[in-house]
Amino acid sequence: MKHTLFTLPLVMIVLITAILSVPAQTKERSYMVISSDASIAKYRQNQMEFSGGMIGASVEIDLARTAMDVTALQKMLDRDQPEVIYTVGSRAFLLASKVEAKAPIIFTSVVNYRRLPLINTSFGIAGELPAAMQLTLFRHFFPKLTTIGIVYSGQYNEQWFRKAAQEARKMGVRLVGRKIASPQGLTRSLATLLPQVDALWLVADPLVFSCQSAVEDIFSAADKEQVAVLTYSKAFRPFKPTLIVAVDDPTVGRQAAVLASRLVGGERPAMQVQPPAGSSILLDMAKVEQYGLQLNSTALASVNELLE
Amino acid sequence: MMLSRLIQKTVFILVVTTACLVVAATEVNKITVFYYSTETMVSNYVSLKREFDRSLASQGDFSFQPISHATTFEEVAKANPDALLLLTSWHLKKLQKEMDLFPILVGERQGQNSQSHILTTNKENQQGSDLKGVTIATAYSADFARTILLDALGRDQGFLVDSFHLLVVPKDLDALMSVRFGMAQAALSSESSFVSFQQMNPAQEGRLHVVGRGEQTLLPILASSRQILPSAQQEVVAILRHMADNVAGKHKLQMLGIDGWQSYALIGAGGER
Repeated sequence: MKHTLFTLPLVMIVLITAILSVPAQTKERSYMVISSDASIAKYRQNQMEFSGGMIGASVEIDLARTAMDVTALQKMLDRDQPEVIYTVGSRAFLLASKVEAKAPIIFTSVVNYRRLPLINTSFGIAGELPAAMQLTLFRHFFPKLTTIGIVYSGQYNEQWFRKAAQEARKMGVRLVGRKIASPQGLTRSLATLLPQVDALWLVADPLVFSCQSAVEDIFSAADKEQVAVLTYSKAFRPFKPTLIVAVDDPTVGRQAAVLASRLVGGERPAMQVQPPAGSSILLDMAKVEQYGLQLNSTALASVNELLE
Repeated sequence: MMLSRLIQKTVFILVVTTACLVVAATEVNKITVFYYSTETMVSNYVSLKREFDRSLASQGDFSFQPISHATTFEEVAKANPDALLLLTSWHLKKLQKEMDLFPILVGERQGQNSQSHILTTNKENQQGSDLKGVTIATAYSADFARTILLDALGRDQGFLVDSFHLLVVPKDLDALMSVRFGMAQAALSSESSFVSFQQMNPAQEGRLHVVGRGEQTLLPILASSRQILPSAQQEVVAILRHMADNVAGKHKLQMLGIDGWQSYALIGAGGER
């Protein structure tokens, strides 16, 4: 009896020590991925990198190939009980947000997430780089840029412009804005703005990009004034902007995976919606030379695509 | 008739054999520079290939081949003894445990051939132990990041390092901005990137603070599995070296994060990785 009294605590100590000495391993998780359309390259990249960052069993649903309504999805969720639901694209998020799920829902590749019906358990990665990130990268490439012009509408970007101008001031950059009330005001605004600025920064604005010819007019006017165009999307590539600072899609997937790991680990992130953490850069060297811009050549290591 | 056929056959075989030997000789002289970096995730492979092929292919049967995965690079390196390898100094050391690799050139940036790696946060006076479980943004490969984190925080801090969530981003600047804008709590980057980031963000609120520093590593290294370089490899080495002599060539090197080369034999590599 005395012998048992001594050995039992000893065995317990040995067992506890053995358990504690096993290195921490990433716990296997069950998760569900719903893609609006997995044939879209950007969505595919998000999903691939997300799955690469997760360990565990997954259920993957491609809404472009599978007929799935709220009832069918609810049944799947009840059956599989995933710990996290990852949605790629607006359609996937809107469907997932209609089911009753205990698991948090993470979204990526959504245009203007502010329109989404977000609840307490919805999280995501925004589809746009914050103004300050774009400005930092503009300055990284062109440290001598001091005056940047923007044409915007008060309806869509009043607040955004004010915030961007504040951030710019901190970096020693002056943002010169021209507010338009309708697409008809674009040409006149460009005519007064372009002679005053070192570069023109294009931001997403439905009134500014009202039609294809408006985009053509912007690029043509800037080129006439020898003003570099800096923009946010590779969709502008055919118009030959000098610099494109776009969201890096593979990073978005990895970022969603980190967010998922933290959520299933019981943490609540400080931000419900995070800005994207990675950027993808296209630089047109011919334009840099044509406009006589002073390029920080060490920034060339950051370029994904160099055009000549 | 028979004799004529025999002569024809012999001539045909001779011609075919000679052609094969010429092709084989050409293949032997074809030199490819394979490139992989553990310190950046910028997917610039198409531009790098186009730019370096322009410089190399115009002067011989030489080519440049960036590779996006470490394992593929390592397999290619082992299977191609005539290739030249452009890789990080940490990766070179790792590969040297498995195969003979001899450094030829080391990259140079603004006169320096090495760089420091640092761990930064957005809070002042933080200790390594305050970072348990945080998200660290970095452009480094997971293996390399782990090595640097152990250097920076202490070799006995394996558990702390295992608790981190690693957010892999394309480049140093993305890692630093991730901390500045709240997507990560810490960043692992080169010190030179950190310095330029601080210069771009003079406002106090955006400033980051160094909490740990890893050992210095040499900039990218050009290496060969041959101790004595065959003439074709020497030609490629010369082409790469001379790229630093003109603006266009220098721009191409800058896409790799360097602006020139130093001879490895002339540097003191002691203590550097």
